[in-house]
Amino acid sequence: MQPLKNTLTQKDQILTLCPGGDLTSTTAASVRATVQFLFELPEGQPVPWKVLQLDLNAAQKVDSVGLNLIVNIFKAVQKAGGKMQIICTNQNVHRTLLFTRLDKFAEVVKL
Amino acid sequence: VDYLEKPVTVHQIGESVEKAIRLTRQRRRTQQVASSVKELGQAQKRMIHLNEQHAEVNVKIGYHPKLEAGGDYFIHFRTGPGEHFCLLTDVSGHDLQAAYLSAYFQGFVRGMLQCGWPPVNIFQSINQQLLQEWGGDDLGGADNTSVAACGIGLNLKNRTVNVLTCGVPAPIHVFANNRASYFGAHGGFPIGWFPDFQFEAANHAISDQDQYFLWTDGIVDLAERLMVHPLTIGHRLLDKSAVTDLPELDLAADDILFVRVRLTGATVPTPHFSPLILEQYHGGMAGEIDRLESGWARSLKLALPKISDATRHNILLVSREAVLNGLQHGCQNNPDQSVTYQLSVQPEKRIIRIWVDDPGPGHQFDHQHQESILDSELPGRHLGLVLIHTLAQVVTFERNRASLIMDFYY
Repeated sequence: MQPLKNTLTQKDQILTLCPGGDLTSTTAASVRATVQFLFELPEGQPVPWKVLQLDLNAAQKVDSVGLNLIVNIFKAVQKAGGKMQIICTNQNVHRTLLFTRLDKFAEVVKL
Repeated sequence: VDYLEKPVTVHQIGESVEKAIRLTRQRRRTQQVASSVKELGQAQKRMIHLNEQHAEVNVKIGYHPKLEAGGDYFIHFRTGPGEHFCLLTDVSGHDLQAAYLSAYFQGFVRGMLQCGWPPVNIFQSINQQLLQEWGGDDLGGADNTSVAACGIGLNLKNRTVNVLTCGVPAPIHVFANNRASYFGAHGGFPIGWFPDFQFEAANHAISDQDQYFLWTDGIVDLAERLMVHPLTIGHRLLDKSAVTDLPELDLAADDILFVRVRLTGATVPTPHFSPLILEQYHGGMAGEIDRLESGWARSLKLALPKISDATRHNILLVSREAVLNGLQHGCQNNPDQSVTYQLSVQPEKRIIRIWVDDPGPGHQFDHQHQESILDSELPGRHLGLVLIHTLAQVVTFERNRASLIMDFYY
């Protein structure tokens, strides 16, 4: 199977991470690699963005490994002094995020 | 129609009339044969479905021959008080000869059983007959006939079931608690291949609610083509109202026969679940989880095409979490150990039930505690178990949580 293409783009103060498909045990490692720098940021170093936007529009599902990755990204963004926003269009993905209460910590936007 | 150019001679007219007579006779013969074949096929279907009517044992049959009549056949009859025998046969080929031979073997077995012969001896006798009388020494010849068979002997007094299989898929025994298990192993050789007769035999104890599912390899071929579990095709075949909208049956390269045998002795019957998927995954298969999930998705869609997208998503996600958990923690990714996955349906109460069993020691997980801290703390460990508890309507455990049972209403 063709590996999914994840993208990372910045516009103004928003850094957008867009996984190429589902966020699951089989894709989480490649998505994590796309934002590996986040986990290696030195303490207190300023970052050129204020919001990390996780665009899950291509995802039909997010499993527990994908949720763990979202939590880890959130912690790294929080450590860097930024905020996190999660965007999704799929109803099932949205429900998964709500059921695990991720909306209490990051802004979850259902398009 | 024959066109003649003018001027027409008497000889030409004579030739043309002769040709027309010849063609008309040929067409009539073809029509007659077609009509006879159709009648034979209808008689075969009628005879197969006669087996469905019996007290003590309820039989439901789904039959779809490739042509008008086929080589797959099933009979069920009482061999004594409280004793029943079910025989499923699949004669090589799916033409009229196969249909004829199939009927012959079924009659032969029935007669011998009524004379008190044990099923093993009958199968052995047929093996000898096929090799010595029908096939001669030409074992590789195209005319060589073989019979794949499965015999199930039910003794309701001794409460035992004996199963004998030769070259057909291993049948499934569904126990009173709706857990399913294969009878013996798949495969083996059909009767009539080798002088050294080989078979798979298994004995189980039975209870009043048990069910048995058996099928011919035509279903296995079609299931491989559609990349679904064979039980899902069987489920649709038994659902008579749904067969007409199952165009996938036209892709079958062989006759298809699926049979459900259900005991009816329970005084207080509980709802029967029909298995749709029963598989084992070894501990080294965690990396194949996407492929497994795709298979569950296709099977679910074929068996229950009308369930909602949300329910399907929940079932697949929870199955993924539970199986991965079993492979990684229960089996420790060890290929010598395995996880058993069973998905069954209870159509009247509209319940889909999933069992996931692993060989591990189980675990301690307090869902209520985890649920209570989710509002104040970032979710951390056990997210898979949180998803399972949240997405399934009912979650129960056995063996210190090494066996997980999840219900979904649809």
